[in-house]
Formats: sequence, structure tokens, C-alpha cells
Amino acid sequence: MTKIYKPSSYEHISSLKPRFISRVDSHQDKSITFSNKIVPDKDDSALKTSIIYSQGSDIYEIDCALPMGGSNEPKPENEYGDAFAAVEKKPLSAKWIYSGETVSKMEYLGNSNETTLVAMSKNGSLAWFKDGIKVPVHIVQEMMGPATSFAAMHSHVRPNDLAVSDFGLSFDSETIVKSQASGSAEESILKVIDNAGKPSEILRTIRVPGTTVAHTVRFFDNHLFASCSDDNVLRFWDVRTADKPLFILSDPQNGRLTSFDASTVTNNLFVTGFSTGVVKLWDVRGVENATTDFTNRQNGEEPVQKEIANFYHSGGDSVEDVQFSYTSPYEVVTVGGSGNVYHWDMEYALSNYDEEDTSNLPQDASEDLQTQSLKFVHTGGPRREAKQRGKKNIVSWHPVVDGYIATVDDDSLVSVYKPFTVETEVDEE
Amino acid sequence: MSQNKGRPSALWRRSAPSLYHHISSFKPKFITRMDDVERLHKTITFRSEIIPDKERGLLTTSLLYSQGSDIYEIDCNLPLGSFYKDGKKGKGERIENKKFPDSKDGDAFSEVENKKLSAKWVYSGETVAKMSYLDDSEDSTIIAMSKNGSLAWFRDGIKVPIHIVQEMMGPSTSFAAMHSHVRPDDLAVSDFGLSENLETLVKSQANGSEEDSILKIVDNSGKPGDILRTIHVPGTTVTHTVRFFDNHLFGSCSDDNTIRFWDVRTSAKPVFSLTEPQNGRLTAFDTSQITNELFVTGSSTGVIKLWDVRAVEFATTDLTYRQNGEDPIQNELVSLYHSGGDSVVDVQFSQTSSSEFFTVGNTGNVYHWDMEYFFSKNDDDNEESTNVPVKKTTTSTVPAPEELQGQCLKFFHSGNNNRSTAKFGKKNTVAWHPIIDDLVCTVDDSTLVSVYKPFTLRDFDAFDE
Repeated sequence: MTKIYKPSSYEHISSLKPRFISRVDSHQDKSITFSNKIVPDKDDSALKTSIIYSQGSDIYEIDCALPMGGSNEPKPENEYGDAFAAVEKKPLSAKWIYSGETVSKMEYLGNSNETTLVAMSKNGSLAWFKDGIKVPVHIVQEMMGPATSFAAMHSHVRPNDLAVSDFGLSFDSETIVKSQASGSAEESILKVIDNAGKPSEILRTIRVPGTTVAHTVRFFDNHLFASCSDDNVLRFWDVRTADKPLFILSDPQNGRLTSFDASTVTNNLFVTGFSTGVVKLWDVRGVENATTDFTNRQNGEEPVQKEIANFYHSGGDSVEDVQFSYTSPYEVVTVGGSGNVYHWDMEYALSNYDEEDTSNLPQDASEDLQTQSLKFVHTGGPRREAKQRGKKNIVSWHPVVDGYIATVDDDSLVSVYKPFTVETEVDEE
Repeated sequence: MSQNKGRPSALWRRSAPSLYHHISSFKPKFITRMDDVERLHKTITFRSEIIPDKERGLLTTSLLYSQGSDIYEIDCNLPLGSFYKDGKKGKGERIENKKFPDSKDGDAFSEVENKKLSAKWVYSGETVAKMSYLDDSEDSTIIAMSKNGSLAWFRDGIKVPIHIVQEMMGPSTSFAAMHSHVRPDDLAVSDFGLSENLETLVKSQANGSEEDSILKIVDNSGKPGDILRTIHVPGTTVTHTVRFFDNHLFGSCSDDNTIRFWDVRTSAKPVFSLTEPQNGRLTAFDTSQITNELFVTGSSTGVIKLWDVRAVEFATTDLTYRQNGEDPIQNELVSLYHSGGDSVVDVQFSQTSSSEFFTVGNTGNVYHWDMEYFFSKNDDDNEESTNVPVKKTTTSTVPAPEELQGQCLKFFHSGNNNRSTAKFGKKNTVAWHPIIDDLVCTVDDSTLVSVYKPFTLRDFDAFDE
């Protein structure tokens, strides 16, 4: 642990322990995302935006003001900022409520759409919300009563293992694909759902045999998406093709595949995370080409699919979630099982990567690569205990403002921060 | 005519002389000698680029013209005055421009008239049956379909296709039926439709064997030419038309007189369907790219029907007037006809107006329709509700057929004098300009290429003011 991390200081960090109008049980599941509202406020050189925060079945919108810094050089700031000054004293009341469900993921659609927000519950149901209407305007309800075969989820044997669901939104926001366990073992289900003409209409149901849960679904463009299942296989599909993956990526080493995310900036890059703390950067074109390339293998052998580069969380901190930045093709955050948030910059790895020449792949985790790429670690303050904290959907990039991250802790502490990263010119001298 | 402009009767309108804001025609000459040009299959479409040149008073656009396997680009200089829409100029000048219903041929093609054309693109060994211009696509400029259902993507500057979806049609395949002389034209029917965002293409073709036609969903974004899915349409021999409503919903029209509606994302079953067993064979249909909801069907008996896809879908789940198990009651918004039973071979919605479309008759005549009169008559109730069109057609708010016919048939282009009585009307030989209002291009069997803009009654009204 000598010289791996650069000094962690923030360009900005603000935290808020929200207070609520109604008494709430703060141990409920939480998730967080940003809205894409931004209102520049020239006077105090801040951008007004808002955080969408869910706790149990309630969804809150928390206003926050991000300092823009203006023309000043960014400098490390040790004091906590006052992004939440306007709402600190104000108890929050729920903007939307998804009654009877626990919200596990939210995706902000913005004002150009008919609906404002899609929320997914732990059992895989989806709800669409609209500004000004507290209850969902559309629902895709998964039957999960004790009488259905999903009752397994309500048993206390392994409820959290099976209650894994996720959804991905196509780039044009017209199609949603959601994954869920089918209740019975050895099969998970993907549903292709319309979000354009008739939101919430289920267009197609795809069964993924041989898997119990597909924990992550992400789109690469308007049509291509991938689902990541507990058999450590990423399956790539096109919403328009029949019920068979276009190609697959099987990665049985490095422990369990826990998460992946596709870059919305490049359409090609994606990152996978493993329970052993390994993080891999891939090019989807390379992965696909390898499935038809027989140079180094016989027909019948597994394709040779190599990642661009791999990295690791030190101390074997398992990867719980990965998220590509919406504004930069290089920046990625990974969330560790410890609750740490790792900021990566893939520029160094990509500068040594040529999509035409894959002979030198992968770039294995070296001290050099790791130092060049790991820009920042957010440890989330002293409130943390040693127990497992990291979860999906508790860390989120701002969709528009460069570099800002929102996180929520188990004790409902909401933070926004922008890391202060030492630029590489220091190393060059 | 001037005495009629105040109170034109429906009769007058129907027998309205064909006046043009502008019409230009020419017979292209070619660098290579073409034998038997008359027998080659021809299609035509517009490119969407327009260049206004105020100094010379010209509006330049270009046509894409295919003849057999060759595709030509023909520049066309239109007089700006006939197309300048707004009244920025003095009113007098505007009226002056409006004043000439041009009865003699214009000279839009004067620059190319004496120039011998050489092919811009060649789709060797195939006969181009349809072309679609890909507006602002980075990868390719046009998609061409051959008679046997193959597709080729072309790019500016490269003479040969850059992507191909080839259908095997040799004598040794089951498609050999098409090469036999028994009924080659009947089976060699294919079509394609492009989604609104141009990312997905669906093409139809005969299977070769009877009783099964095929739809193929083809990628046009990440990997153009990649066949994503093949759908069999059982019980049909040919599916002659495929059109998209938006990015996902499309309709396919087959020879069993059924339009099947599909979503590219659903599995291989239609979302809903519309069967129209009356009025002869369904021969053509087209969707409005402006409303995403309206579509028009044409039939071999000359009947034209305008539909609302929302009402068609709603009727499939509405059990008010029928038992479960009975066929749904799907009613059109309005029904029109070609006089003299001229069968409909092609219909195309305007790309600039939600109320206009043209139909092409088997005689080669082009009929221009404007449904604005019909829509204005039906404006009184709330348009929001999706079942309103159903109600309307079952009540008597629809104007009498004669009146409607007179009010909606705006114009009629009878082609050229030198047409013979042979079967002339074909698909894809008439096209709207994608940007310039009301501008249409046509090609006939004798290679005569025309562009025209009709001079309709609306213009008389504008002239009155």
C-alpha cells in the first residue's frame, strides 16, 4: 500500500443527512441517481441540479448546487461544501411512491419524454413516474405473492440471492430490457419492453437457460445489448433478432462476474468487475471478432477473447458495481464491497491499444498501469463500519456535469463530490 | 378559368385541366449504347439536397434514376419562383409568380439535356426495382433493391455496392421458379421499408415455393447488411409492400389481402393484423412519416382507403359489436376511388404534408389527393381519444362520397401523349421530393423523365386574395 493511491482530496464535497416529513425506517434499501436538470446560477457561480434518492418505496428529489469553479484553477478543498445548503433544514416529502415495493434502481428519462423516471423494484417490477403525479403512470408488475412460484424470493433461505433484477435503456430511450430471476432455478428471464409508442408494453420474453440470475443488462446503442449472468457469461443480443444471443463472452476465471457497464460515449467499450476485485476493460468489436477468428484455435474450441487491459482493487476488495462516465470516454468508477468508490481513467490503457492489432492484449495489471489509471479513491467518511457495504446503484455519475458523483451510504448520508486528481504532468517531470 | 375561381363546382374540380406550376421532361442520353431501353426496368427517386441560387433564380436538386442495373444521378434546376413559398418578396411579384400555370415544358433539365449520362452506380447482374435515398447517413448514400430481392448499399464516389444482401437465385436453387417463364413477374415481387431513424430495414420477398413469403430484418446502423432475423409469413405467396410507422412498428401487405403489423423487437408473430377481403386485391400501401398513424391502401379495383393505425389496433380488442371469435370490425377513415376503375399500383404519402398523398393508376396516371377537407370536417370532436375515428366512420359525419371525391382529388397527372395503352403503371416510377412541397418526379417506359409541381385549386384561392 505504499504508493498506489494519489492523495485523496476533493475539488468539492458536500454531504446531507436528509430529514423526512414522515418518520421512516432508515434501514430500508436505498438507491441514487441524478436528474439531468441543470440551471446555471451565475451569481454564486453554481449549477443547480437535483439528486433523485430512493429509500424503500419512496422517491425524493433533493436539490443541490454544484460549484462551477469559474475561471479559477481547480484546487483541493478540505472543507465540506454547501451544495445542500438550500435543503438542509427542510424535511423532505416523497415526490413519487411505488407502494408495496422496494426501489432498487432508477433511471431518469428527462423532460423530453412522456415520463420522467423509470424505477425498478427488488422483485423486478417496473414503474414509470411523471412530474406532478405521485403514483406510477405505467407499471410492469411481476407477480410475487406467496402463491406464485416466485415465493422462493419471499422465503428466508436466500432471498437476496434470487431477488436480483436490473434493466437497461437503449440510447434513444425507446426500448427497455429488464432481467429477473424466473423463480425456479436454472433459468433467468429477459423482457424487452417498449418505452416509445406504448410504454410498459412487453414486446418479448427471452429465456436464458442455464442461469439463475442475470444481474446486469446494458445497451451499447439503440439495439445491441448485453446481459450478464451468474454463469460468468455475457450474452450479446440485438432487440430485433430472434431469441438467441448474437455472440457470447465467457470469462470463468477471476471469480464471479458481478457487474458490467457499457460506455455511452464510445458505443464500443465496456468494463466488467469480479468478486475477486479484478476490473477488465473490453472492446466489444474485439470480443465479437474473436468469435469468428480461427487463427489460434480449432473449430469447436472456445474463442480467444482478450480484454484491452485489467486492473484490480487492492486488498481484493470485490467489485460490486461499475459505471462509465456519461461525459468522458475514459472515466469509470467501480464500487468495492468495502463501499469504497474507485475512480479510473482508461486513457493510459487506451493509448497503448490499437483495435487492428490485438497481439499484445491484454495489458496485464502492472504497477505502472495501475498508478496511471487509478486516479482517486473515495472512502466515504468515518461512519462506515467494517461490514459489507457496497451495493449496486448507490453511486451515480452526473449525466451532464463533468466529474460529479453522488453517493448514498447505508445510514442515508447523501454526498456529492468531485475528486481532485493530480494531473499526469507531475509524473512527467 | 378565371370565371370559375369564385365558386368552383365539384364537377369542375374533377375535370380540372392539368395545370402545372412547373413541368419539365427530357429523355436522357447515355454514354454507353443502350439496346432495347424500353424493356429495361426503371425506377426514380429524389435526393434530398437542395441548393437555392437566388442570382440565377434557380433551385437545384437531383434525381436518382435507375435503368436495369445502372443508376444515374440527374441534376435538375427548377425556377426558384415556382417554389419560393413565403411572401418575403413584394406581393405583386408573388402573384406574378403564381400567375403562370405553366402549360409548356420547363427547362429544368436544360443543363443535362445534351450531356450523355454515365452510370454513377452499377449493381451488376441485377435489375434495380427500388431505391431509397439515405438522408445524412455517414456510411452509405442509397439502398437499392433488385427484382429478386437482393439489396445493395452504395456510397457517393464508389461505383460498386459497399454492402450486399444477396439472395441466391440461380437455376439450381428453389428460386429457379423466378427464372422460369411461367410467372416470373408474379413471383419476383419484393419490397423494403426503412425505419424512421434509418437504423433498421425490413425486406420482403417470395420464398420461391408457394404459400410462404419471407420478411428479413436487416441492420442499417452498426453493421449494414447484417441479417438480424427472418420471419416466415405463412399462407402468402408474395408480400409486396413493407412500410414502417416509426422506429419499430411496421406493416407488411401480402397477397392474402392482409396487412400484418409487426414490431421489430417482438418475436415472429404479428402484433395485430388487418384483413380486407373486399374491393379486389390489395396492391399497395404507404404510411405517413409525419403523423406516424395514418396509412393508405390501394386495391386492384381502384379503391383507395385511408386508415388510422390506432383505430385498426383498437378494433382488434374491442368486443362491443362482436362476439369473441368473430373478426374484428376495422373501418377505414374514408374511402376514395380512381374513376373508371383504374387499378391502384402504387401509393405514396407526401413527406412534407400529413394530408397529401398520390396514387398511381395502372394507366400510368398520377392522382394527387389532399385530405385536408376531410380532416377539417371531422375536427369538431376531441381528437385525443383513440376510438374517435371508429365512431366517425360508423356515424354519418363523413361527407357524401361524391363530394369528398371532388374535394380531395386535387390534381391529376396523365403522363405523356406518347403513352400507349399497354400496362404502364409500375411501382417506384413516381416519387415525392422529400423537402420541396408538392414536387414530383416520374419516369415512364420510354425513359421520359419528368418533374412537375401541380397547380391546384388551392393556388387559385391564394391567387384570389
